[in-house]
Amino acid sequence: MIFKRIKKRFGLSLFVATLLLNSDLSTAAATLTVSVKTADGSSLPNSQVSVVYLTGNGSDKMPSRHSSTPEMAQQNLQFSPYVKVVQRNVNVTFPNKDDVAHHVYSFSKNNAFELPLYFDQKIPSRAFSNTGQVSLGCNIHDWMLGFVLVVDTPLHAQFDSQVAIIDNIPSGTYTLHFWHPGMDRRENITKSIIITQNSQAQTIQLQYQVKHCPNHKPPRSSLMTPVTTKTKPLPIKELEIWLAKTK
Amino acid sequence: MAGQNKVIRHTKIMARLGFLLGSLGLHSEAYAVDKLKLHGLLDVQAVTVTGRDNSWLDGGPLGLRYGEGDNLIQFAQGGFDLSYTLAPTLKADVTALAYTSDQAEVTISEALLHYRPIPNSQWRQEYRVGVFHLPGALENRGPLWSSPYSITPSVINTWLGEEARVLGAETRWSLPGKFRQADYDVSLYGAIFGGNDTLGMMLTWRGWAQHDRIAGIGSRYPVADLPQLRDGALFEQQARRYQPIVEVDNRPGYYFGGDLILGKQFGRGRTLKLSYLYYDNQADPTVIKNGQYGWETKFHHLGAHWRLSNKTEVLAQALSGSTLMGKGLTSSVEADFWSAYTMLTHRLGAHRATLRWDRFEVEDLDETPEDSNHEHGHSWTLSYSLNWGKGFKTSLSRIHWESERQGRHYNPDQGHNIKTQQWQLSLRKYW
Repeated sequence: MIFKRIKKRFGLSLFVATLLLNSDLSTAAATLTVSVKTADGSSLPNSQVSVVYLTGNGSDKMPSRHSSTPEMAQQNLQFSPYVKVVQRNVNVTFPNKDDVAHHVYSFSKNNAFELPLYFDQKIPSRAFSNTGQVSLGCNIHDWMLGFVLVVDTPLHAQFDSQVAIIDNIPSGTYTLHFWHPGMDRRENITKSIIITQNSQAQTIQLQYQVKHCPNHKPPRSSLMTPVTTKTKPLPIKELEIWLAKTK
Repeated sequence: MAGQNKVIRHTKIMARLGFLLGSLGLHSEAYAVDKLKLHGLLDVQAVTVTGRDNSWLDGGPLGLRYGEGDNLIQFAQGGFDLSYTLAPTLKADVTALAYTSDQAEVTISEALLHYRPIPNSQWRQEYRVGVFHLPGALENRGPLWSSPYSITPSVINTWLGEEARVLGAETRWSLPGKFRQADYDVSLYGAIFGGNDTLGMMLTWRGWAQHDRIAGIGSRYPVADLPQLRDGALFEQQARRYQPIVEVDNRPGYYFGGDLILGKQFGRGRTLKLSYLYYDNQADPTVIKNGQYGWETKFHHLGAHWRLSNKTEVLAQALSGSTLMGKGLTSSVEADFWSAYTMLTHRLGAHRATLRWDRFEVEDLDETPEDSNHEHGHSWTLSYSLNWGKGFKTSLSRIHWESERQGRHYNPDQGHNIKTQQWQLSLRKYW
């Protein structure tokens, strides 16, 4: 009971990952399905912010599987999506879908960059040549926070509700990585797995301690009018005049 | 055909011009305004006050803005805040305020450059250069330094608004928790400044006050008919107007402080902000220039802003310091002062109710019987406000003000004690 209270207080959760492997003999490739549950068996809130990816077996030489250009938009004074996983050297666009300027930056090691004040006239893009987590901020809206996770493999997936699916995995030995913006960044959550043409469904339990995601939503006080996107342009009043709303 | 083209071209030009002008206007949309931002405030009030004392703005002993003899309808404040983005990280900001009725004036309350370089580490740096308010007034978070909680701010923030303004350079270093998975933000700041050498003067000679007048560059306020300031008296050199924002000794002052914000990252709308500030204007207490003495004033300031939820907040500030004027001159003034308040505010949709209790005291330490500046008192403020939307806000507030000041016996018409209720009904328009 006390432990539960402490856990709640410090916002820690334990995660269990379940891996399902399905082989498809016709293409000699497997599909990996990963689900994540918290230690008490409940489903993971905001699971979309979690990422799984496989490295090894020459995956760094495999071509990109991004079906379209990955996008890290700024919308409603937030980064959207909160987390985006991309392959190394793939262009990421940063469209501004708000009616105010944003000034996006990152000081993350090896991937520092800056996209000065801009609106929608141009859509800047960046390719990240180093793997790792790129924490994004906005110099105008201090609460804004987003992550681009740069990986050196096309075998990556973000969770869609409760599962993440990586398909067409060539047989071989891989390292499975799990990433979540709330996990201890000094920790490297990995598990070696062998994928063969006749792999069976298996359950692997990995335990991670994950804190809550840092807050990245605009404070209530920053919004005077409901924030809308370009499709219905309305002036978004910024911090200075929030009072005129119902604060 | 050519004529038709001309008409089309003219129409296009006019449309573009219209858009340009529109985008410079107050209700402009889209991107042209993004560099130039204009926010404004108009405040009209209906006021009634009990008691027979005049407001200090009329030369009376009452620390409130309105007193006996003031009109029912008041144009309380008008102003705008214009900011211009000079570069992606550099903004110029000017706030102008206008007051009519008692001591009418148009003044610039802030004029500064604000530089926020792109962080290259977890530390965020910010710089302000120019004329600006001190950090730490927790209530005055609204546009043009107004308070969203009540029409009239606390005694402390009234004083910070009327006497404390600096011409200086400030640096602030913040360590936001969001980038390092920490549930607290830390911020440290410091400044070197001039232009605030008379801080403490009004506090000592007039006493603490509670009103919504914000001083600006060149603001002058009436000096009451105090015997110690009359011709031939101890401080006859004091001009007939207080000038709170002036430099008299060409000696820089400084302040430094810090904020700690807990719970911003992982909390559920519950945050606690704690702040500390130490201020010392390092004024030369032996100097008098253009009828304004140097008041060597230093104070400690503590603040706490606790958001219990998105709706309920508790604010508290405490300020304690000392001032010295005229050391080495024939007479001097030495006083300690303090004030503190606690405020509870609750918002329900567009409605807000606020209750605040202020206490204040000046302790005169010099032994000059002709210049007694002892004062102690307290006030209760009860305020209700309703946001109509579109920037319209109506507030109703009642201040119960009690102050005891021995120096009032110098004037045979005045008693030591003042006990007054001030009712204000305000209609504000923000844009």
